[in-house]
Amino acid sequence: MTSHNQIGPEPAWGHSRGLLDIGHQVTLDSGRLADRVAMIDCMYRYAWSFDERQREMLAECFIESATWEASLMGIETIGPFVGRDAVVEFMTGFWADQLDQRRHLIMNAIVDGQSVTEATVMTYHLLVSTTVSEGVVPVTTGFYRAHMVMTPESTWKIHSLLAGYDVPF
Amino acid sequence: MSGLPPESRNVIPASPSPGWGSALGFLDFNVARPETQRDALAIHEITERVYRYGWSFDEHRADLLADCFTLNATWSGNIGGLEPLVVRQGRDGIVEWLCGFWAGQSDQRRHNMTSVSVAVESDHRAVVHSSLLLTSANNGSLAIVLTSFYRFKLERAADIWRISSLFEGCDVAF
Repeated sequence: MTSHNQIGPEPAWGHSRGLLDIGHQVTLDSGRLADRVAMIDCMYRYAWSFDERQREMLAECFIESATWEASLMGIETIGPFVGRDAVVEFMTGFWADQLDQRRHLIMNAIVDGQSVTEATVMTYHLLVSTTVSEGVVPVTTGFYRAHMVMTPESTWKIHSLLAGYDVPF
Repeated sequence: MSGLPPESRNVIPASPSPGWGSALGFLDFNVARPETQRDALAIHEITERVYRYGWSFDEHRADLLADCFTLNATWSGNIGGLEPLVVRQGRDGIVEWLCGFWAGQSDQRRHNMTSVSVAVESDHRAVVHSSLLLTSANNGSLAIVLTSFYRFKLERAADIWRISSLFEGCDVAF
């Protein structure tokens, strides 16, 4: 994404830079289990849609007024991009230049502040690139912090997404 | 966490024998399977506890790390079936020991938990198996440090699941 000569990242930069504020685990109301599964599934679909170049599916992950921004090691910010169309335009703009098969592996999904209408989902991501010439190469790790909302259509979508990257890419 | 105690760091074991966790009796998959919707809720909460263990270490949150364990929890491990790790007893001792790694680790580690399999034995007890892919980001590059398996035992008290026993089987020393 960008060249970067900064040494880093510092350990636990998401927390120390104020980008992550993880709460203590609380009991989950059984009536909200399905909602939680749905919002985590939205994060999975976000990754699937980018890697499989499904533009419409990617757009469906976001509400119309959604925002997307990224932090490289807490040092450099990309975005924010405001509005679903701008977010999708920005993300799909990488596809022409990325000739490898990328896989965004989403792991360690946790949820804080879940209510009937909103929640914060935090996940890890491990980005892996595959080409015939280079084989399978781990590219970067990091986290996603997504503020999710329940839409009038009773689906969970991303209201705002912060992507944190441990290594520039 | 995924780090050798100082007294073991010079030990370089041979390659692990495939399936060493089961072969040596560290893993036993003959456990109860989920049967009810209540189990499904517990499975989700327990899985999240495993994830939060990874998050709390990687984000240097001692308070959240302590919240993962019961007061009398134990932490143990083995490297490749060849080198046992020193057993840590009690939540405070475990947390102090784990946090002790932070001063010497200048990289951003990510404990990527995968293949989390939960067996709910009762309303208050569960056994969990998980794989780990530990990565390290440092100076603009990313490295895979090791793979491991975890065998957790969890207990539920005051409606919260916490780890009462943790065994980590590291495939390699580091």
